[in-house]
Amino acid sequence: MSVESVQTALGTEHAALWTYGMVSAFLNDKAVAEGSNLHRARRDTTERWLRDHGTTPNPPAAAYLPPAPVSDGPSALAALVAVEQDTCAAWRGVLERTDDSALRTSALEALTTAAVRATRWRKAAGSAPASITMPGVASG
Amino acid sequence: MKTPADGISAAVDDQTISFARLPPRRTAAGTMGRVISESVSRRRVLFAVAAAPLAVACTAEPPPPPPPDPLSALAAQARADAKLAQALTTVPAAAEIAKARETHASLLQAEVDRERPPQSSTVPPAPTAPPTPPDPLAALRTALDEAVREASATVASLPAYRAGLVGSVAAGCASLREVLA
Repeated sequence: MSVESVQTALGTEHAALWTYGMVSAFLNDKAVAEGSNLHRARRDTTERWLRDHGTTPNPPAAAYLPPAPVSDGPSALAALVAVEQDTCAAWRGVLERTDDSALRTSALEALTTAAVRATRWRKAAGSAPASITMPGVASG
Repeated sequence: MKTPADGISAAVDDQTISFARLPPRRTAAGTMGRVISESVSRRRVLFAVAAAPLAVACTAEPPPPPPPDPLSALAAQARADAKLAQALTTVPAAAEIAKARETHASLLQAEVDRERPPQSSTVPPAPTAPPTPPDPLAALRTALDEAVREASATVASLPAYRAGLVGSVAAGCASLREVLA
């Protein structure tokens, strides 16, 4: 059960990494490279966790579809917010499905850091409120 | 040939282990055993060992009340943070923080009440308003840092179905902290 949720989380990490790469064409921001590196590190540890648990990690898709077309800075920020919120939801899903304390710690960290990055991008986009009350919850 | 000392030691050995119907020890180690058995008899030690759990069982007669729900402390903390943020009318993000922390408090309290329905329908006592700190903004930052830490630490010990809720609260507090950054 937790393996499936970790595969889902890996899927969102692949999507996040792809999105960060794509938006770098529109946003000249140090934080984009930073977010990209953090998602790459998270993807690697997630793949390692799956291999250690006898599962083949799912490969990334060739491309991902952001919720809205990305053509400029503001739409790039919106795509980043969306992908970080998807990441929050996936890692919260892992938290709800595991009693493994190491996996739980890692899922909580992934959830928290994604929520902070989503807040940062919402702030950059001038969204109000910038904060996310319950990251990982659809209505949050 | 018996010496008077042998006679005394035999008497001590007989007295201490006679209930087990074992022959008195006559080994080299007997010397050591004799020294110990003179001060603390084996019977007394066995009795003490047997009686200790009995004494505990007798004294712990009434079942202790269940430990407080860890989520109720988090809910109280969220209510206190909301109060603190409400007092900060000068900070633009304070209203947002107050609202978010109220939501956290009600979600956490709902889970506490679901698991252990409250005896009476009284709402939990509102936290007494703390005196306004000299630097309320710094106090709010500290409170949110504390909230992230507390909620994160609590996640580790919770059953899985509660870990998601508290994990989101921790991440939500980190998000609020980022707004103030």
